[in-house]
Amino acid sequence: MARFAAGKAPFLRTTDHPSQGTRIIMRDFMIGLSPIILFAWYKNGIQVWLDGNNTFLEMLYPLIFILLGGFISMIMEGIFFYITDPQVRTLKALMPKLSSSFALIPGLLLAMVLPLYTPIWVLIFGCFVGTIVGKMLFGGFGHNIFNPALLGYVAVGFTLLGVINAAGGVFNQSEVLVDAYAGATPLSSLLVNRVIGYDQLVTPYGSLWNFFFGTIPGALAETSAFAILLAYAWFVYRKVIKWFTPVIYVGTVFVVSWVLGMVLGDGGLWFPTYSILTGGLFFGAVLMATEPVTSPKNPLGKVFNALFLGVLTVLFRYVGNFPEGVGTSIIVMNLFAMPLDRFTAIIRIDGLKKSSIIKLAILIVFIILIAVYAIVKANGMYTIGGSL
Amino acid sequence: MKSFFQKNHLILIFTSLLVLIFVVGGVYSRFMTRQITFHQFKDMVPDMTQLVEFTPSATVDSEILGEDTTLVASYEVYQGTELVSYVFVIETVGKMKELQIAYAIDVETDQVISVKVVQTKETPEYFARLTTAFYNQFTNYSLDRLNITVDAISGATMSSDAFKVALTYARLQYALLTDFVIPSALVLVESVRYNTDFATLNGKPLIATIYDVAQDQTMDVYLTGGFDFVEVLTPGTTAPSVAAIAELKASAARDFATFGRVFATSFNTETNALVVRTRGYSGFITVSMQIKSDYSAVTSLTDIVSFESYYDGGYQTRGEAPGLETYLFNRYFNEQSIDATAGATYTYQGMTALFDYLTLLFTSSNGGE
Repeated sequence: MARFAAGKAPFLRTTDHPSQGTRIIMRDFMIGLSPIILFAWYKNGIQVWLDGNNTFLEMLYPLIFILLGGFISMIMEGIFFYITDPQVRTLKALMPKLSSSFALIPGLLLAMVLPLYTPIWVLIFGCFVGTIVGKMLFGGFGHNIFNPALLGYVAVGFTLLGVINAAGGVFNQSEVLVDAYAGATPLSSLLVNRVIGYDQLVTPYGSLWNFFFGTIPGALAETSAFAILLAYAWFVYRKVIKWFTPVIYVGTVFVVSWVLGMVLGDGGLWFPTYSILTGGLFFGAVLMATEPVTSPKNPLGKVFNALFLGVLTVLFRYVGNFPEGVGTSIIVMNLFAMPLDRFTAIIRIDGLKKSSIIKLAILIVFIILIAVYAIVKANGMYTIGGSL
Repeated sequence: MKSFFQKNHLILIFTSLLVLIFVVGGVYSRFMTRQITFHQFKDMVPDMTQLVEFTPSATVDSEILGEDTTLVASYEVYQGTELVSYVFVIETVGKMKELQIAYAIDVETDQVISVKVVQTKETPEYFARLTTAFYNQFTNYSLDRLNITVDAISGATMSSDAFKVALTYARLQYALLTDFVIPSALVLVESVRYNTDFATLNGKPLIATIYDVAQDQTMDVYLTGGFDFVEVLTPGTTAPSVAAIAELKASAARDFATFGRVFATSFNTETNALVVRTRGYSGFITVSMQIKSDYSAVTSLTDIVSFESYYDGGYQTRGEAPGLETYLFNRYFNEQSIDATAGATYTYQGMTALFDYLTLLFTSSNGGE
């Protein structure tokens, strides 16, 4: 009979990590993030510096910004612990709390998904919303409903996007010189022009290889699918995340986008490939959809969570007014993590009974309905682009 | 105090760190923002060392170009400590809204140095038709001219026009900031037409309707084939000033160039000898002829002077110039059909334009028959 754990996540299999528990996860997580952070620094700092388009101080900014995000998050959590718990008012008592609480992560991830020219005070605001509002006020690590980094991201995106754009926006010092970009990222270009065509969406940014390696305009660390795949391989190897959640999430977006392209009149594989390589989908799928606290705990729940994320991302991206769709989808599914977990857990317990098959069918019908609605709705909103 | 610090040192350190990050980070962010603007426009002005954003004390009245065209940002560009140019970022409407175009204007020469599209939501496939040649027309574009003109690109007319509107705004803004004076019109050329009156045709093949701004009067004037002013046609009006006449020639030549392609250079009312020039491939083809005394048709071909070059595949069989021209004229004279001549397209087009012109002269002087 299947056994289920209760209480706050993550649940560690002690045979995998016999000695240190959450600290191991923290270490593995940081190792996994390092190629993504380094690529973000390379693309927005070092490469631009080598091109002669920025100064040394500007070159350092992307790295400092990302690390600062983690640091700010940690300080805020430290202040929160200090105020709310009289037992942790010394550094010696505080550090283990911060470590086991993954205090660094929300700010770090938040900084990675923000545009390069986000003012530091906006980052502080985002860290406050993510760490204090999204995490600590819910009871701290393991009790939060929403992914803290994403909550900070959504708060910043909804309230201070104009400030970020006025401060310089998303393009680095080399990218502002590229006339072909015309001030638009691949997804904002789609949103503005509502034209689906390789020449319109891909050609201005090079080829789909540029999308894969991440040398396209976008938020600091979310553009490189390649770097994120390295992190993914490491996380799976170290069993930090379940391998199938990102695969199903990305796969669903690929398939639904492909069908959408076919319905619109362009059945080329370039469009679903473009869909999965833009808007931080890989970043969200590997680093946020797999977050143990805010996603379902049992494997079947994770599968359905990923399927829902896939269809919702297509819906929000191609029907909604915000181009990326990933962050919104994950936040929405955070809300449904607990009921989905319970629902799928019952299905697992019941096995292949009539009642569980009906429950399964209900979930599948929901997913198909969202996908069909997204495709039908988007069908009238886009035109197929011709060759330039 | 000491005990307070000892008791609360951790929270004080954390708070101080947060404040420090806020202040130093704020300075760092501001630096980055200033730098990105510098990087964005640094290729617009050679040897730019400093770009300073400023708010102009006066901006262009929104009634002039409409509320859709606005100034987004203004920058002073320095080379060392010397102010060398201004950069104006203008937002206007092309096919879509929010088209932002930056113009860099040299303060010494009053010329546009360069243009840059800062932001566009135009349809990509049409906007891509604005080629390098289109943008190059703004290089060293003097603002010291009567009208802002931009050569529009077929298929991207609305986008092209947006560049014109934005440049007009930039010039107005530039004039508000500096001692630059926008030239005002001395004369407006409203239309040009052929003079079809054989009595006055000699030396006066064109008639222009103009508005003399200074004298506030509209009049018809005779022009030569080269758009030079000859005399006033409208009784009771005073001739334009010398400056206005010069402007008239330039304006007519620019806006009514098709009239300069074919025209009568002379007509002798006593002998009925008519000389007409038309543009071929290698300059003008001059055709001299005799016409009937009632100005209804050609009676004979006198001479054709042509410098057209030969092309073996085309009119080699007609002999050297003006072989083809003579052949075509004879077909016109004999009222035979005139087919396009492969390999001599420009010559053919020049000659058919001449025939059309002759037809216009003859029919107009005979009541349109």
